[in-house]
Amino acid sequence: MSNNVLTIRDLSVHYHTDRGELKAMRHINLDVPRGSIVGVVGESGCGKSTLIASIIRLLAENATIPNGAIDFESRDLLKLSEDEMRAIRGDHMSIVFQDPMSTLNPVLSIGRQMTDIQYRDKKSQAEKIQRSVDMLASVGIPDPASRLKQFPHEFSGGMQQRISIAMALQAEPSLLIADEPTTALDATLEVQIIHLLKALQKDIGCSILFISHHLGVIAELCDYVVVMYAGEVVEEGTARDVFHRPAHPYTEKLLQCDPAGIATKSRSLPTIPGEIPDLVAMPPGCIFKNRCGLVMTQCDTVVPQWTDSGNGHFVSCHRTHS
Amino acid sequence: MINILKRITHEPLGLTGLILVIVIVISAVLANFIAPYDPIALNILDRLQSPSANHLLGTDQLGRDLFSRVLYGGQVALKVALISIAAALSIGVLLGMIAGFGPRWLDNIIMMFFDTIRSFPTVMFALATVALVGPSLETVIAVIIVTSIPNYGRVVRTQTLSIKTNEFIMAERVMGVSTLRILGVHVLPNVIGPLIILASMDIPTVIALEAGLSFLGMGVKPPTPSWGSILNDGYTLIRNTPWPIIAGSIPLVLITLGFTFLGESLRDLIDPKLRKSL
Amino acid sequence: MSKVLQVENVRVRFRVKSTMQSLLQQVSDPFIDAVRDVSFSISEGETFTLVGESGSGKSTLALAVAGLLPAAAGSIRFNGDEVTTMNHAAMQVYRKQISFMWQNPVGSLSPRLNVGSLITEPYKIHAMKERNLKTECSRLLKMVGLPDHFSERYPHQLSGGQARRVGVARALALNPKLIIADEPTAGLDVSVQGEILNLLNRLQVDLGISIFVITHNLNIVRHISDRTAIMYLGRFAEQGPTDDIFAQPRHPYTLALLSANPEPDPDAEIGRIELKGEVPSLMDRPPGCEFHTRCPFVGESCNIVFPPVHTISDTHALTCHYPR
Repeated sequence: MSNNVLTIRDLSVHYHTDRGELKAMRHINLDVPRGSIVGVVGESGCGKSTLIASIIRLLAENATIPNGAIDFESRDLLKLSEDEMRAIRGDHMSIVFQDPMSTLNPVLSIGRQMTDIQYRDKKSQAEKIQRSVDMLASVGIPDPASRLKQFPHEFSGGMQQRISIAMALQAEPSLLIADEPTTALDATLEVQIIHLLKALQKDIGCSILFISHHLGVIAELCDYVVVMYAGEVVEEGTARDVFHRPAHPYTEKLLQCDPAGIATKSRSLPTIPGEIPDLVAMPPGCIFKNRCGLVMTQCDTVVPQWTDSGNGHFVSCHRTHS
Repeated sequence: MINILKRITHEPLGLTGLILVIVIVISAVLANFIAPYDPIALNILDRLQSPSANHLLGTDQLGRDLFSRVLYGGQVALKVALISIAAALSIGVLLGMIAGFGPRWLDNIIMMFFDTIRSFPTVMFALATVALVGPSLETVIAVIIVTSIPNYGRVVRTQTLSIKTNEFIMAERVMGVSTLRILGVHVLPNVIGPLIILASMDIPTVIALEAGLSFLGMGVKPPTPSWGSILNDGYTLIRNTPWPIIAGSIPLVLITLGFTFLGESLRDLIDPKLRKSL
Repeated sequence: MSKVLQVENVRVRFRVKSTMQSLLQQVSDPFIDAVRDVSFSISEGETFTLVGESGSGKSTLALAVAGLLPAAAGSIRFNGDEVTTMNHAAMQVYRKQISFMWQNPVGSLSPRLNVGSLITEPYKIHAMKERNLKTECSRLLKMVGLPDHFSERYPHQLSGGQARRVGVARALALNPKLIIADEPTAGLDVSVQGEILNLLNRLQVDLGISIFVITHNLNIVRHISDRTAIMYLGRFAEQGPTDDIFAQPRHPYTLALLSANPEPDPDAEIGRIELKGEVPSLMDRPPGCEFHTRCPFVGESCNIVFPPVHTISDTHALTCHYPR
């Protein structure tokens, strides 16, 4: 645990809605070891947005946290005051989002934005500008000094995302959260961004929590993988373990569905039929039972336990006991 | 619709607004039946009386019962408000959709037309028109219609412009849907939302405008009672008795409060829904 | 097999500077070519896929084929009829024979109409009053695998996958000969992507429809497409049978695209070809071969002379000085 920069234990988040309590996230456990890249794989409705919002403590008003702890650098984030959280956000922990245009202020120049976020540093303006130039250079923006006075819309999508990354890493945080940063980019740009993140991570030594539904990117970038489904973490382990020896039926089926992994041409691609269950009126037992295909009798009534199937490869499934 | 009504009544603000509006509208509509006296019947002997059991709000300088005049005045106010807003809405929506959806040059012409009207201060415009054609209820209505069209038109135009590039509009066009059908079936229902709130907030403004014009003697001709003309009469009598002024003010204040509360709670209802769907 | 669609030397332009601006800024050409010079054909019952990144012009080309954008040059012939010069009446007839599936599944459905009205709208537009709308609606929902009660639902009540199926149902209403599908898997989870692709495949087999797919997702191309074209800056870099292209890509851009695809295997060997630089602006097209600024195999004449067309077979061609 002390090797982790972020440790989430037994975290649940419920939303209060007209129809009742929506149990968006239930008893999740997640580890981000120091200096590693952890990928979170999940499809729509898995709870990724709720996860991020809980970590940075910016949940919606109708959210409640019935149980759990988020340990970040030996402090429980859930117990901190808003002021203490604000000191952490942007400094020890930062985020890169999917759409760079919603991170960047369209009416301020890049240079202005990059020096503004250095407000905590007691440096001179010239030093701050130099730091910004250095950061832009490290993310591969050509001729950065002259581009500081340009505005976001004058850069292409790929460049904007690089700038967002530069801004996020400028304060040398211990944890960078990347929420689908390459989903909106073309394949060739996506590859550049992944290489950039890998290089920067080695340089700065931060940890990255990388959320994506693109399995190929996760496989290439991440050391550890966490699989989420309908508000639960169903599997966690090294990238090799999860991709080569998937322990949870959902992970198995997901890997089978990925067209990139299907070598021979097929006119009848596999899918996972069915939908995620209603998280307000939740059925008893395992959350994946209606789409699993390998259901046993306990799956109907008993929620599976989070167990270590060997060497830090955790899974939440009844089949691992038997 | 019923859903919306239910939610409005849950808020104290909305409920109050709804009640005020209903009370005043009903009293105006049923004025012919509930008014104790003929609003224009003279009774000089009873002039300038304070409120009593016979005359709930007293009498004016010609002995006319103020309560009855206020009730009938409500009819004038509502007539002006409903007719002018309905007409302005229809024309404004039409022009706004055409401006937003049609070719650039048509948009420019319509916007020039709107901007010209809006460059005149409303009251000045009204006074000038009345000075030209003489005061009457019809003139007031016409002036209000003309000055309100640009407000609705502008909002509809902006909404139409932003919808125009949406994928579902492109989808309709690629299927060969006629422009008329696109505007009527696909654009109109999606732009009308904000207008309802705008219109309901405009009702008290329009009523106040009519009252103002009548107060200046530029509106409804005597002896027809209008809240504004009651105020006008009361203004000259303020040293003798305050009751005509009070009688003319009460309905104006109540209806402004009523529609404002109603409009605000409507807007609060629609806005969070929009935010949620984002 | 007859050719359903024949596109020859099509060019689609957009005006970026007004006449005033062109005069003041001394710009000689106020237009940009989103599609410069494109030729291809689609046969009956065939799936043709257009692959390209953002800014390649693929969506513009699709809209031009659908008749929503004018072609500045070239010809687009559908079953022999010239689309670029159609009058209104002919265009209405054309529109009954093609359908468009949009990228945004929910956003392409009019929000105030329910599924039943949306699917049967084509009948209303083309005044086919003799049809019983209810039966048609059931028939179409069945074809795409949705239960009958879905006709009551509104777009915002549909999931991405369901909305896509509604889009397909609507596209099938008038028995089109050609469906244009713009990014059919965009926004869909991997576990449901197969549903829509299998559906399109099945419809092709059952109904003999031709499908024109536009996508930047290389992973799905291999599974659904008979022939593929790779597009860059408004031109085709390479086009040919999908299997050939994937087995042995010859154009450097094709090579780079195919190698850019991350595989879902942490141990995968990546012989990746990285492209340097950014996509050039359409206002400032590079001379010679337009790809030379980023080409990892750039050679002597690449920045001077426009490359010739190399034909590998009569269905496979590419534009390059030094094909691999």
